[in-house]
This record gives sequence, C-alpha cells and structure tokens, in this order.
Amino acid sequence: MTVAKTKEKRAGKEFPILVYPEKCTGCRTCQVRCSVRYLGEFNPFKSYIIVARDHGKRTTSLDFTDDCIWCGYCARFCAYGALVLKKSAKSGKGSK
Amino acid sequence: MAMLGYAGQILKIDLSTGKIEKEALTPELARKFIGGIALGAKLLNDTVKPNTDALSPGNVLIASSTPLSGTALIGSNKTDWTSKSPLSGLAQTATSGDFGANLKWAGYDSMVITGKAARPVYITIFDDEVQIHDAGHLWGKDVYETSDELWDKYGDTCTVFCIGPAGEKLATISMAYTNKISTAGRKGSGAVPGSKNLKAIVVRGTKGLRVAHTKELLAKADEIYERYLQDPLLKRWMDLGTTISVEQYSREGKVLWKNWRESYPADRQSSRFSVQQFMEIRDVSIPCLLCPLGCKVLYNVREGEFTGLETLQSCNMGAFLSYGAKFDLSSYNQIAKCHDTANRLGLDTVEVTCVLDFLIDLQEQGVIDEKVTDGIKLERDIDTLLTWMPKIANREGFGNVIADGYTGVFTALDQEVAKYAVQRRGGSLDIDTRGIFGVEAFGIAVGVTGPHATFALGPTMIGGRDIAWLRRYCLRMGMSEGELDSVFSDPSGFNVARLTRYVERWNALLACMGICNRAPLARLYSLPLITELYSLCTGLDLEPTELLSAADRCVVLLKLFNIRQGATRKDDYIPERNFTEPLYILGEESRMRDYYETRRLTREDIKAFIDDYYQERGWDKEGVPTRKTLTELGLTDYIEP
Ligand code: SF4
Ligand code: SF4
Ligand code: SF4
Repeated sequence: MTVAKTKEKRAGKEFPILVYPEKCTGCRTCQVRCSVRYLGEFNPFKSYIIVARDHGKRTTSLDFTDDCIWCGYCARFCAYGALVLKKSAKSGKGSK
Repeated sequence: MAMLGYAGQILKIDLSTGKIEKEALTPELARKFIGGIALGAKLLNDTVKPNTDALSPGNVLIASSTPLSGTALIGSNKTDWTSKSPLSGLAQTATSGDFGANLKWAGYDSMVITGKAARPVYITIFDDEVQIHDAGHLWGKDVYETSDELWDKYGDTCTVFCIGPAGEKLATISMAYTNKISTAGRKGSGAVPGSKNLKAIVVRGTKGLRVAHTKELLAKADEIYERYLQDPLLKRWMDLGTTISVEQYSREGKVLWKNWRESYPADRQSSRFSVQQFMEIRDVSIPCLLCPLGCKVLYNVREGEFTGLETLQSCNMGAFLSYGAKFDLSSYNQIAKCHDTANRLGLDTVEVTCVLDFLIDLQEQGVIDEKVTDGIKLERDIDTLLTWMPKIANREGFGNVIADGYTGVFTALDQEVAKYAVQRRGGSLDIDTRGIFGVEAFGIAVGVTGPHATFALGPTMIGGRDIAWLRRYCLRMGMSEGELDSVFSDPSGFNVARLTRYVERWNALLACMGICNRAPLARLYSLPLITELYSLCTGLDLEPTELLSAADRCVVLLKLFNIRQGATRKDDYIPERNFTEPLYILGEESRMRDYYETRRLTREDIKAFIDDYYQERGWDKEGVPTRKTLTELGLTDYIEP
C-alpha cells in the first residue's frame, strides 16, 4: 500500500487499539488475521503488525507498520488482552 | 502450481550425500493420506526398510504439517513427528509444536530426513533455500544454549528444533525440542537426530499460504472462536493449563508413586502443589502458534529455593506427576529446577523418572544394592534427580545403562528384574490399568506407538460414564450405526476393545489435522465440521467417511511398519504385575477390573479383548491387517506377496 493511500484510509480516525506488549504471548493470531484480510493469504511476515520476541519467553515489542490502516480487526482475535479495542475497553469488554 | 491449502511439496534431505530434493505432493497423495500423521506414516513405511536399526542412517526423521495448519483456525496448528523409536523399536509419533506451520509457510507439507552426516550439522530452511551447515560449535551445548545461539543468528521469527547432550549421546530416553518447549515425541526422539549427527533445524517460512475458499473459511474460524469463548471453564484453563486437573487427580488417587505400587498422598499435593502455589511461579502463557488457550507457561521462580530461575513448561501436570509426586519434591520451585535440567539436557522426563523410580524400588526391595548404582543410594528426592540426570544424558557410570531405559537396565542386570517393572516394549505406561479400565487403559496394550494413550485418549478417562453419554461421544467421532451396534451390543454396556478402535481412528484424524487434544479445543471439532474445513482449505471435496478411512490408513500403516520391524502379537500386552499385584489407591486395594467395576479382569479377558480389537480392525488373530482390510483401504501396495 502506498503511504498516500494509508494516510487516506486513516483520515479522520484515531488509532483504535490499546496495546499491552507485556501481555502478548507471541501467538501470532493478530498477524495471520491481518495478512489474510488485506493480502488474502495467511502470512505473519506480510502483516501490518510486528511481534518481537525474546528467545521463546516474552514479547519485547508490538509495533504497527506504516501500512496499518487502523482498522482494529486484529485486536478482535487477541485472546490475551495484549490488543484491546478502545471501544470494547470503554464498554468494559475485552479487559482481561 | 501449488495446491491450495497445501504447500504442495515434500522436502527430502539425505544427510549422507548432502542431497536436497523437493518432490511434489500430488492431489492423489493428499486425498489418500491427508497430511500430518497419516502422511508421516506413509513416508515412514516407504522410507525405512524392514528391521532397520533405529539409530542407523536408515531411520528417518519426518515432520509434517497438516491441511488446516497455518490458517486462522484455532488449536489446529500442531506438527506431526514420525520416526522409528530406538527405545520401543516401534513407530514413534508425536503431535506437537509450531515447526509444521512454519515449514508449510516455507513451502513444504513434510520434511523427510535420512542418512547420517559425516560431522555434526544443522539445517536451515528459509523458503526455497535449504542448506546444511557445520554444527561443530553447537555440539555439546544444551537445548537452551543451542536454541538461543540459533535465534541470535537467525532471528526470533524462526522455529528452532534441536537436541541436547542426551540426544547426541544416543540416549534412547532422550527427546528433541522445538522452541525450547514442545517435544518431538518421547522414547528417543532426540537420539534419532543425534544418530544422524543432526544437531538442529531452523525453519522460517515467508511464503505464506492461500486456501481455496478464504472468506468462507474465515467465517467458520470466527464461528469456532465464538463457540470457544462460551466455554465456562475458559478463564481457569487459561490460568492453569493442565494444572486444572492436579487436585482432582490427587483426590481420586490417580497420581502414582513408588514404582506403580500406590497413589501419592492427596494431602501432600494440597500442601505443596496447590493451585495457589502454582500461580506463584506461573509467568506468561507460551501458546503454540495461533492458540488462544495457551496451556503452556513460563515458570518464573520469584522467591525461595532457585530464585531467578526461568524455564518453559509445556505440561505442568506432567511435571507434577513425574517429578513432584514420584520424587516427593517439596515445591514447584523444585519441579522447575528438575524440569529445567531435563529440558536442557534433552531427556525424556517420563522415562527418566519412571526408570529411576523403578531402580529405587529395586533397592528398597533389596534386589540390587548401591554398588550397582555407582555406590550411590537412590532416594525419592531432588538430589537424586539432579545427580542422575546429567549422568544419564552424558552416559557416565551407571547413567550409561539408564540412558537406554528399562531395556538398558534389564540387559545390564539380570533379566529377572524385569518382573518388577511396569512397561511395554521398554516404554513406561501413561496410565495404570488397575485404575479405571477404559479405552485409555486398554490402549496401553495395543497402541501402535507403544504403551501410550496417544490415540486412545478420550471418553473414559473419567470412570462411570453412562451409556447415553458415551453414545453421544461416539456420534461426534462419526461412528456409523453398524459400528455403534458392534461396540454397544456387549452385555456389560460397551466393549472397551472395540470402542478403542474407533477412539484411535478419531484421534488419528485430529492428528492428521493438527488439532490439539486439550478439551476446550478438541471439543470444538466434529467430523462434519472437519470435513467442511478440509474442503474450504484445500478445495478437495472428500466425504466424511473418506477422512475416517484416511485416519484408519494411518493406524494400519503404523501397524504394518511395526510388523516389518519385527513386532508380533506378543508385543501387545499388559504388564504382568498388573495382573498379580494390587495397586493401593488412597489406601484401598485395587485390582484390574472392567470399566463399570463389576468384575476382575484376568489374562483371559485381556486376551479376548485383544482378539475383539483385532477383529474390529479387520486384522487377523496375530494382529496382521488382512488382505481384505488393506484392499478396502486402498493399500494393496502393502499386501505381502
Ligand atoms: S494476538 Fe495478541 S497475544 Fe497473540 S501475538 Fe498478537 S498481540 Fe500477541
Ligand atoms: S489494525 Fe488492521 S491493518 Fe492494522 S495491523 Fe491490525 S488488522 Fe492490520
Ligand atoms: S492448548 Fe496448549 S498444547 Fe494445545 S495448542 Fe494451545 S498451547 Fe498448544
């Protein structure tokens, strides 16, 4: 996706996700969901979220690439409370 | 063009010649053997010659992904590992870890490694680029050191498979690990790569995967996830993982110690290994790929003995049974230490602890003295474990004998000591048959991978299930009316041997799909759903009965493999001690009885059960699949002339 296009898609939105890297288990569900939604393939390496791990133990960072269009889709599938949709946090859901 | 849902290739590496080949996975092969463990069973049979020494270049190490793995389906991303076990001499399989999904994303459904490298090597698989490298600098290092070094070099997005010193020294009670946590099976899964001079395999797949019907598959994946979230026990499962059953097992006397003589006192469990005590050392979940349950954990010892120790644990229940109870440890801190030691060395936890427990029993019974065990008295304590595990992994002193498990001990000492052991084909049992005699217990006698509940795990772990409940379970497993009649026409309610055959088929199918057997995940999947998912992923339309036949093909191929490696009906048995001696459960004498506890089970009963089981499978009296059975399953190539 071009930078201009990403910007266009983000316009008028705020980033919809609360991010808690310390809760991330590295399960990669968010990555696979993002890649299949936007690229039509199951491929964590092409997703717009990057999960960095510490030799099998903990997640050291959770970052969104410049291509991320702030849709929040990935957060719906994070079972560990590392990605929480702001709107469900407000409504009291998803706060594990 | 690659097939959808599959990567479409099988990677073959011969370490003797260094030759690397990529073969197409044809639609015919995919339809017939599905993937995972069935494909593994086929490749095992086709690669390993009859009567092959499991530690010779002729054995094979196979890893297979499954048609569902690497997609967005939850709990269906396991890898199937297949080889010949150097401990049991039978087929060895395990459904475990992330390796397969990464392999699939790299472009391969299966990896088949044969031969033996001249020097220690490791393999890297980065999409199309497959290379063999010198591993001189890694040889001798433990599982954690090796994994860390390879992650340092290649990055954390790789899956790292490796062995520790025990595998290098060809201990038949060794294991291989992926990502420091998942094992590639028990019973010498570390010695097989060790015998090939193969220290590690690093895989990273960046090609990804396309399926036949993406939108529909995602809709199904969402539906499955929604159903999963309804499970009322979810929060507890996520916190505790397998620890969820520790208390109940102890209360019911299912936790055994003292060489299968009695149950471990429940009050010790509640005072030393309570849920609260577990939570004190529990850190984050370490789930398998795409798993929302995360039953595996990072142990983090925050205070007391071994403070500062962090180690990865795939099954806390197993660690409690093996170390905590059998060795009368005093805390989870001690369990963490023992577990860390065994993992790093690459030892098979279950075999190591069972064989040491057996040797302690021999000393207690006065059968052997300390001289045999290098002048050291064996005790049920942490010191014994921490002293002997390195000796075993490095084959030092009597550790050299224990490194080959029960068989090693029987050979080194008088064969007479075998009568004190509870084992089948050199492997220790998963379950005592003198407790609840369901399919899990009967599976001990006939299991194609040895005395394990691998394929026979399921409906009768809990005693006294009523027939209506069992019938519902059977329907979910896709049993036909005729099959139900055959199982439930027995006057006792149901025939445990005949039911075992269908539970094995079901678990083989789950393994072919890489579906985890933890209850909150496994119960989400039924035969119609699996059939639909298979078709959405691959675009191949198979009937449910065709999938069941593929699962049967898997078990039959593993059985044929065993026969060709020399196994006979004599190898299907329940250990003699289970007939002659009682087990003391919570102080009460317990003998082998039928599932509803209406009568004692004798050797004749077990013989009759084995006959029933063979008959239900379409095998002859000797346990050999008949020509008719092989023909029906489309395995005519395997009919002996
Ligand atoms: S889904 Fe959640 S826990 Fe899993 S990798 Fe993504 S952020 Fe981490
Ligand atoms: S917010 Fe949307 S675009 Fe960004 S990583 Fe998540 S799914 Fe991908
Ligand atoms: S439940 Fe446990 S064993 Fe099963 S897939 Fe999840 S983490 Fe792995």
